[in-house]
Amino acid sequence: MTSEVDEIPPEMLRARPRTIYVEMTSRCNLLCTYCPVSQPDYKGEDLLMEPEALADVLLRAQPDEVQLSGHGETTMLRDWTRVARLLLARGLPVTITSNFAKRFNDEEIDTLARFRAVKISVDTTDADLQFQLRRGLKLDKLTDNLDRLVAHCESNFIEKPFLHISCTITHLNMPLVPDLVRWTHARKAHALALVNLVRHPDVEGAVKILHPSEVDPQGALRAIEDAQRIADELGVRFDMEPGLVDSLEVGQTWQ
Amino acid sequence: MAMSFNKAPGPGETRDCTDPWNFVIVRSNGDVSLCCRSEVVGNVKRTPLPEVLESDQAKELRRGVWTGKLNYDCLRCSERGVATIEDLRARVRRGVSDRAAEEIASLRSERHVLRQIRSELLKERAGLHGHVGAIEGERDQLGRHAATLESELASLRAHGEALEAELARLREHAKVLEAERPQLRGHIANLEGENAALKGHADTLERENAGLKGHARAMDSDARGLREHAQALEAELRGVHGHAQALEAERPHLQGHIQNLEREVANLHARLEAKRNPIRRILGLAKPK
Repeated sequence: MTSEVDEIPPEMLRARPRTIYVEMTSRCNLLCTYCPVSQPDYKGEDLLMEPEALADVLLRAQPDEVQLSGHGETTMLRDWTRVARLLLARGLPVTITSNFAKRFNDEEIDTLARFRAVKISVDTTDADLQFQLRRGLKLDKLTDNLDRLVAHCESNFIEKPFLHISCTITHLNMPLVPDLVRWTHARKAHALALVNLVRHPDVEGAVKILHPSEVDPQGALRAIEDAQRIADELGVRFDMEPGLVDSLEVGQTWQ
Repeated sequence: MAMSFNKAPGPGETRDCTDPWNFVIVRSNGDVSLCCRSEVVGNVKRTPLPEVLESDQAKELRRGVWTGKLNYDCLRCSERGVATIEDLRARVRRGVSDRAAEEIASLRSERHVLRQIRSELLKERAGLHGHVGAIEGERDQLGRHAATLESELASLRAHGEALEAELARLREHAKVLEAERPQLRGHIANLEGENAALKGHADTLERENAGLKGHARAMDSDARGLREHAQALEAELRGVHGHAQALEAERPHLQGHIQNLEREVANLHARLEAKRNPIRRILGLAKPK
């Protein structure tokens, strides 16, 4: 009997890299409750690679997107703009995911404005809850950075990067997702994406978080429905990881 | 251990994911994975990235998704949904076939051309921005000048209003003064009359003064005569004093002389008595008591 594995044409096993994530650092300036960075045994480090060599590697792959992110926060590196500008100068389509936790200087804002896309992690419009979930993130500072980025693009006639708000869903912020859609629109961002929670062991001293499917899956589905309706009205792109909807509708748990 | 929440693929299904073919993550330690949650398939510090992407581990991951025989990481993936194996394979074929690769290459070429056009357009836009910037600068300057002029105009208007208010106030004041003028004229006439009277009085006083001056001169002359007389008297007085002093100096001498004379008189009396007594005895005369 021929197995399905044997049926794979060899060319179907070839890689066609479109998106390359480069984790410039796995250190972070926040300790989000749901992130592996918060786990006691987590250790971060910086990527030790010369920017020119990195650019050579990336150019050979001809990706559609080079995302300068991983578990850590790239913008906390001292010379991150130098690396980013070098990659941009080599014609690479650079994007980033950032927590926007620190106040960016003008040079950083200008660098971000040159990116193809910028994904910003925002979990809720409730500043207190945000602070609890992200442990240190001040929403007003994040908002100020985002507003300055948009204003910089507009005042300098720069095509705005695709601004993607990324929200990791827990039982605490799930009901507030419709408000986050409005916030996304008010901040002139293009899209909001819901990320399915992978629940790590509880962190001592941090607010306890649960997956919405463990608390109120039907309420979560209603909140998603409301958010989708508002997003359609406001013209905001609303994405969610399919695994999130699956988990709310079917509810399978893995450990 | 982390908990993930999803739906597991059933028979004939697999994970709806093409990441093993088109996604790469290079971790900060050099490890390479084919999605955010899967196992490591190599390390760029030891092996060039293209080789890592074609490594046995990488192919095994692709094989698992292709066949639906998923490894544990893919089974518990909370990100992707579920698809039928056929649908997934169709998508992978579209993504990795040579034709698709050619299409992608063609699209990339087209994108390259479009980017060049975009770059030219951006340059042109930058040039226009420069022009716009200059015009905007000029506009800003003119705007500032206009604002200054408007401010100045507002200030002048305010000044004009203040002047008009002052003028009105002065007019009122002039009316008051006009009303006061006849009274002042009468007062001035009175003052002029009084002035003439005072002048007459002054003339009289001057004349009187002239008379007094003559009298004073006569008095002065008298005074001078009296002074001279006084001086003569004083000289005479000094002579008298000198004479008195001489007399005073002579007095002790005269007093001594008087005393001598008196003693001499007393002696003479005594001698006389002495001569009288025998006579009296002779005459029988008693001694007078």
